[in-house]
Order: sequence, then structure tokens, then C-alpha cells
Amino acid sequence: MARMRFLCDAERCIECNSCTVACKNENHVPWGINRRRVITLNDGREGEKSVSVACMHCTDAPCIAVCPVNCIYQTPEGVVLHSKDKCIGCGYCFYACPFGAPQFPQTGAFGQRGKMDKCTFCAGGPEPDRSQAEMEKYGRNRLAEGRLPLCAEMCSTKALLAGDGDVLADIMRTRVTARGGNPELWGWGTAYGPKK
Amino acid sequence: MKIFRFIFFFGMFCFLAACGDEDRDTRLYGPDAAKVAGDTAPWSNAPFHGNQLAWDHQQEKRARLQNEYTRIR
Repeated sequence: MARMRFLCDAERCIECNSCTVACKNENHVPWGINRRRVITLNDGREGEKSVSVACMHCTDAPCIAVCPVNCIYQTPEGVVLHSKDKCIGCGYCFYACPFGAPQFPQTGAFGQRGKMDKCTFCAGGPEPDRSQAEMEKYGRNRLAEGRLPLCAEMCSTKALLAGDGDVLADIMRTRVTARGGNPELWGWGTAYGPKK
Repeated sequence: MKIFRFIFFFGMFCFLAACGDEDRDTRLYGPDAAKVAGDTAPWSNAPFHGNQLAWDHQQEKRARLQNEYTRIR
């Protein structure tokens, strides 16, 4: 069975934000929420690197562990989804998530947050697949149409890949080989610069 | 005596407070988590009508199209 993953190739990402815009447009994401965003390190300096970040759909998701109403669940394909009907907007999932994926549309004087919203891997939610209710609450269910998330399909440089983890690993291996990969490609020197 | 009474009642309070605690729904972690939550598999409805193999093939084909090294050749 396919185990769905995202993979962003930081060598190719040019911070065009096509993924961010495509996601917001396709899923009618509420104002103030970015399900996907591009993070840039060393912006404007040598060694600038950008990477597109959204919900990582963790295998052992901390948001599932901390949710007090059990509204977050993981499908057999590895996609972490949630039910907005059960969500109470407590914010625990936001505190637990190391990537800041769960976001809330409201800010209020007494901390009311509204229903949590996050990347769904374009897999909708617990509502019937491709129904109007699912579209309104969670956005489009592209997985049920046999398609991949729009952010990856719209990526201009194919930096952002989505799909079965094995297939993505195969694609990355092809790229690393084409770039003349060597054992040092992923070493300390590559990640953090030469040792001083 | 007062301190012992305090410890006794405090201990009873802590003991009884746990009685209202509900077990976490551990079914949300297993392979049936989506079913427990009321969700269906992506191949359940049109256009796959329950054909998981067709869905898997479609997904793999679409994922492999992201690799332009093989697509352009």
C-alpha cells in the first residue's frame, strides 16, 4: 500500500511560492492561514536555501497523541487528517507540532481560536469523499480522484514532490546520481559548512 | 492530627479525581483509525469504485511523472 510523503528538494526550491498559492486557491484556505509556506535560510546571502514546509504527516504524530477529543487520526496511507466537527480549538496540537502545521483562523480576547486547519495532503476529511461538505471544510480531495496534492503538481522546478515514499526516494536517487552525488553529499560539511 | 487528616483527604481527592478520566481512544492509532473516525478509503467511490489496485497504479504513475529525467527522454 502506498505510504504518502512529501519531499522538498532544497537544491531546487527557488522560493517562488507557487505551492503556497496553489494550496490556498484550491482548498479555499481561510484568511490568515497558510497550510504550506516556504522557509528561506540565509536569505539574500551566500548559501541561501529555501524549503517548502507543510504538515509532515508524521508516522507517530504528536498532534494525535495530545488531542483531548481524539479528532485527529491517521489513514492507512499515512495521511494525518482531522475532524473539524469534533475539534474544540484548544490549540494543543499546535503546541505539540514541531513544524507549526496546525493553524487557527481566529484571534480573540479570550483565546477563542476557531477550528484547527492544516494541510490534508489534499485528502479531504471524514466527510464523504468529494462531497460539498468535505470541500467546504477541508478543501479538495485530490487523492480520491487519483491525483496528488496540488502543491507538488504545481511546483515550477519539481522541488516539491509528493506521493509514495518509495517512489520519491527513487526520484531523489536519480537526481543525486545526475548531480554527481558522492558519499560526502550528505555529510557534515555539506549540511553545516567545513569544520573550523 | 490535622496534618494526617489533610493528607488523608488530599489523597482521597487525588484517588477519586482519576475516576472521571476516560481512556484514550487508542483505536485512532491503528490500521482502522480512519474507519473509527468515519472516513473512507480514497478508492472507495468514483472513479475507482473500490478498486485499490487501480488507485495504487494511478498514484504511482502520477508520482513517477514528477521525475523529468525519465519523462523527457
